[in-house]
Amino acid sequence: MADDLSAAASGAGGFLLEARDVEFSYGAKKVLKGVSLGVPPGKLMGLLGPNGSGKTTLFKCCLAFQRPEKGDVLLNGRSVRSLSPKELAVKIAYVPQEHRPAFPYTVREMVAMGRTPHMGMRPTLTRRDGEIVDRSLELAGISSLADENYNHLSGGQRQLTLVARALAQETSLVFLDEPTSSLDFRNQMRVWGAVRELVKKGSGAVICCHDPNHILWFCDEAAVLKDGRLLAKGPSRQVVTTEILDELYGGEARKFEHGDKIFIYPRSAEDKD
Amino acid sequence: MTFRRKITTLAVLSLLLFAFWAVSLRLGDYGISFGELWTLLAEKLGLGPGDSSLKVHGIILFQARLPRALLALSAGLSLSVAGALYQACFRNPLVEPYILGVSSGAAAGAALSIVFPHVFPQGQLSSFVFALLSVYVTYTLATMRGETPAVALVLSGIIIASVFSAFVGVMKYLAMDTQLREITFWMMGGLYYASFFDVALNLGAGLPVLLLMSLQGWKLNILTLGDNEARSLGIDPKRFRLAAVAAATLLAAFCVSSCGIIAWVGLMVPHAARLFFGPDHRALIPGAALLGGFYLLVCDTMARTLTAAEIPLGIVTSVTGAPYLIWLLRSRGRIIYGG
Repeated sequence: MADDLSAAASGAGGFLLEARDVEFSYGAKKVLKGVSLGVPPGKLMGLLGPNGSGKTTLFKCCLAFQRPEKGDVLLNGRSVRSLSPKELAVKIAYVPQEHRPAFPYTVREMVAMGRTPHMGMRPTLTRRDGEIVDRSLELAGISSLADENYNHLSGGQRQLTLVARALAQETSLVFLDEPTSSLDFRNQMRVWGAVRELVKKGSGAVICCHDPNHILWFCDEAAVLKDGRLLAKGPSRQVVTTEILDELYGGEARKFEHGDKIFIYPRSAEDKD
Repeated sequence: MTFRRKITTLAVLSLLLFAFWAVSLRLGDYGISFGELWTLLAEKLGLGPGDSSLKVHGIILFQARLPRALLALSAGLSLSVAGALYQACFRNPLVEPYILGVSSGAAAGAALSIVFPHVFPQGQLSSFVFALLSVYVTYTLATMRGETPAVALVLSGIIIASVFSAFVGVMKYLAMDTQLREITFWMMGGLYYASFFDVALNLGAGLPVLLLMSLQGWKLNILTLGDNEARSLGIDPKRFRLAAVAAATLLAAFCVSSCGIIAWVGLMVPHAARLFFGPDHRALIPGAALLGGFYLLVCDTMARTLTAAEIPLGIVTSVTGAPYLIWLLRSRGRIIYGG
C-alpha cells in the first residue's frame, strides 16, 4: 500500500483524490455549485454541512455513482468515471450507513465481501484473504460476532461490520457516509475508534458527519459545505470556528475551550438553568 | 455452516436423489422390479445382454418413465436456479421466476397454438417465443434513459402479465370445448408429453447456467447488497444483473414451454435451500438445483401414481408447497430474514 500512496501523492499535487469544480443538479435544483476539494493521503477528513448541503451528492460523484455535470473527480490523475468498478474498488472503499440486506449473511461473510476486488476470477477466498478478514474483524473489535447473523445485530454492531469490510478491502482511500448518525454514544465512539484504525493503517478517509464535536475530536482535516459550495477547508481546528458555525447553524452553536479540548454546545442549553 | 459441511450436505442429497430416482422409475401402473430395471438400463448402455421378455417394460421405461423422470429433475433444476437468480437480482426473497411475465407469455403462445393449430403448429416453439417476447417487452418498457430500476421492472412485469392473460382469455373464449380443456390442463402444468428432446433442451440450458452461476455465486452475494455497494466492491451491477436475469429467463422459458406452468417451485425451493445451505450463492445455487430436482421428481411421481387418472403437476406442487411455506413463514421467518 505504501507504493500506492506515494504514486498517488505524486499524481495530483499531493492529493489522493481531487474533485475539480464539480457541479451537479437533480432536475432544476442545483446541488453542487462548483466544488473543488483535494483529499490528502493518510489523513482523516471530516465533511461538515447541514442537511441538503450537497455532502451526499459530493460523495456519489467521488465514488462514481453519479456523473458530475461539469468538472471532474480525479484519482491518480484519471477521471473516476473512466475507471472500471473493479479498478476503482481496489483504490476506494465505501462505508454506507448500516442497513439490512435481504438475505441473512453472517458477519464474517459481510466482511469477506471486502476482498471481492482482490479475488479476480477465483470463486473462493485464499488463506491470505481469510487472515486479512480475521485481522479486520479484530481491529474493528467484533471478532466475537464473526459467526452471528448480520441482520440480527444492533445498529452499532452492523456499522462496525461495514467499517471492518472497508478495512478488509485494503484501499488507500475510504469514504464513510454518516456512520455514527443512528448510534448511541458508546457505539459512536467504537465506530470512531475503528475509523482511526483505518487511518492508522495508512488509508486516507473522508467522513460525512453532523456533529462538529466529532470533527474536532477525531478528524485531522475538515471541509465545510453549504448550499452546494465549499465554505472552508483545512486542519479541523482552524476550520471549525465560531464564524463558520454561525454561518452553518445560524448562531445556535457555541464554542467552549477547556485545556486543549474544544467543545461545541447549543445556545439553547444556556437558557435551561 | 462451514464450507465442508455444505459440500457434505450436497453429496448426501445427491445420493438420496439418485436412490429416489431409481425407486420412482419402478413406481406406476405397470410394475418394474429393480432387477428388470438394471437389465434394461445395462442393455441400453451396452453393459449387459438384455432380455427379450422385457420388451413392454423397455417401451414403458424408455419412452415414458425415464424421460419423464429426467424432465422432472431438469425442470426442477431450471425453475429453482431461475428463482434463486431472480431473488438475488431483485434483492427480494419473494420474487419468483414468473415475475417478468415468462409464464403468461408462454401461456399465450401455447393457447394460440392450441386454438389455431394450422397457423401455429409448433406449440412448444410458440410458447417459448412468446415467453421470451413477454420478458423482452417487460424489460424494454421498464428501461428509461439507460436505467432499468427493479421496481419499474416488477411493475411492468405485472402489466405485461395482465395483458397476456387477457389475450389467453380471448383464446379461451374462441376455443372449442376440447381445446378449452387442453388450455386449462396446459396452464396447470404437467410432464405427460415428456420426451428426450425436452430433457436435452432443459438440461442443455440448465447445466451450463448452473455451473456458471455457481462459480459466480460470490458476485451474486455482492449484487444483493444494492447497486452502489456492489459498484464500490468492484462489481458492475447493471451488466451482471442483465446477464443473470437473461440466463434465468432462458431457463424459465425452456421449462415453461415443455412443462406448462408449474407453480411454487421457483419461489419455494430457493427458500428451502437457504435453510439448508445458508445465503451464500456459491452453495445456494447448486443446493437449489438439487432440491428443486428432488422436489419436482417427488411431486411428479405422486401426480402419476396417487390416483388412477393423472393429477396436474401444478396442483400437487401447490398443495404440498403451500403448507411448507406457511410453516416456514410462521416458525422460521424471523430467524431467517430478521424482523
